[in-house]
Amino acid sequence: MKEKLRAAFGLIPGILLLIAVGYAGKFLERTINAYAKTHHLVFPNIEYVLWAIVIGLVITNTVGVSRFFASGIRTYEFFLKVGIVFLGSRFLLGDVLRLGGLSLILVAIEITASLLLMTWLGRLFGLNPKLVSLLAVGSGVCGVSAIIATQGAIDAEEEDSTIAIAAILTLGAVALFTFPLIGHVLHLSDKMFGLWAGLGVDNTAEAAATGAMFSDAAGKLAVLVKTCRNATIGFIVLGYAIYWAKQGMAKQIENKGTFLWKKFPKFVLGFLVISILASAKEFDKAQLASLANASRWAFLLTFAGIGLRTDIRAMFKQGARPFLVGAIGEVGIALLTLGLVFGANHFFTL
Amino acid sequence: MEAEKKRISLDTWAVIVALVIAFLVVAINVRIPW
Repeated sequence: MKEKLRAAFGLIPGILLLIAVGYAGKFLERTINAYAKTHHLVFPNIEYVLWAIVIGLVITNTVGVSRFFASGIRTYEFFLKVGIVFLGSRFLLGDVLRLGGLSLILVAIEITASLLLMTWLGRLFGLNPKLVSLLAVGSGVCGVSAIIATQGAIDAEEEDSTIAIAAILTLGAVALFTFPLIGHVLHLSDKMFGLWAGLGVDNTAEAAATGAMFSDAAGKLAVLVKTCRNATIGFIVLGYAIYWAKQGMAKQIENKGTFLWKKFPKFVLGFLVISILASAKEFDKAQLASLANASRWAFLLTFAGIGLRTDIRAMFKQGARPFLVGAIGEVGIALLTLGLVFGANHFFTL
Repeated sequence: MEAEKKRISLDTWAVIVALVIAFLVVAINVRIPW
């Protein structure tokens, strides 16, 4: 009990740092916009999302962050999931089913292509086969959580998952800044960009941030699409676990139903519950606004966490070959998903 | 193993916390500004 209390108190400094960095980002956006308005200056509108990430990045990569804050900073994953649940209030169930159905079709194509591409590239570069599985799942499904889930299921080495996570996080950080630029150059609509960010960016936090950097509407859709991708995690991990068990290099899965339930991201259910309640008009206008704001606050802490977690020096320390496989694969996936988005926009009018 | 089974996952905690806040918003009109 004492241990648990100590661990809980240990989270406080890091959470306070997330709040401080996130709020500084929000404050900067507001102050700069107000200054430009009063002085009749034309400044590009830089969203709080970018400020929060950049402030976090600067802190981590200059003065560094003491270990004292580490456990609290890691809670950004928790706030991300809280934010996703609240985001359900901004989607009517009909939209969730329509966009979710379309997303699932695109997600199926994206995952199949990603897994095949990464496996082929991994073999071409002579990577360890289990590391290839981890990279494939990380890029195809949902980044870090998929890698961790697969590592346990296929008995992969800790070192392989560390390498795969480093590669996926590095490429996620690159996508964070390149996707919005490409989106603006190509004049993508909010819906097209949201769909692309949700399909093409691997880690959920980065996908949400990439979408939000483009626009609020794009961020909302990016999270919905990414959530659909996350929902498939159990099936993909199960497939890999069965494959490696057949090779005699991982333990057998006894109960597939229990396995799927354990791997299923429960926040998807929370998102659906809130969306169903919103669609049933259980919330009035003011309550809906409060829930949407709660979602924004939770995402703000997530974006601060992304910046604070990204250590650029550590990224350069990873092996060149896994990074190359990841990078080439990610460029391929980004192009493929962009093509899917244009196709979906043509056939379904997003 | 038993202890592992009893642990509530981060996902589940996130859902519980979000639903409790949603309940407070509805039941006692807690307002969350931005």
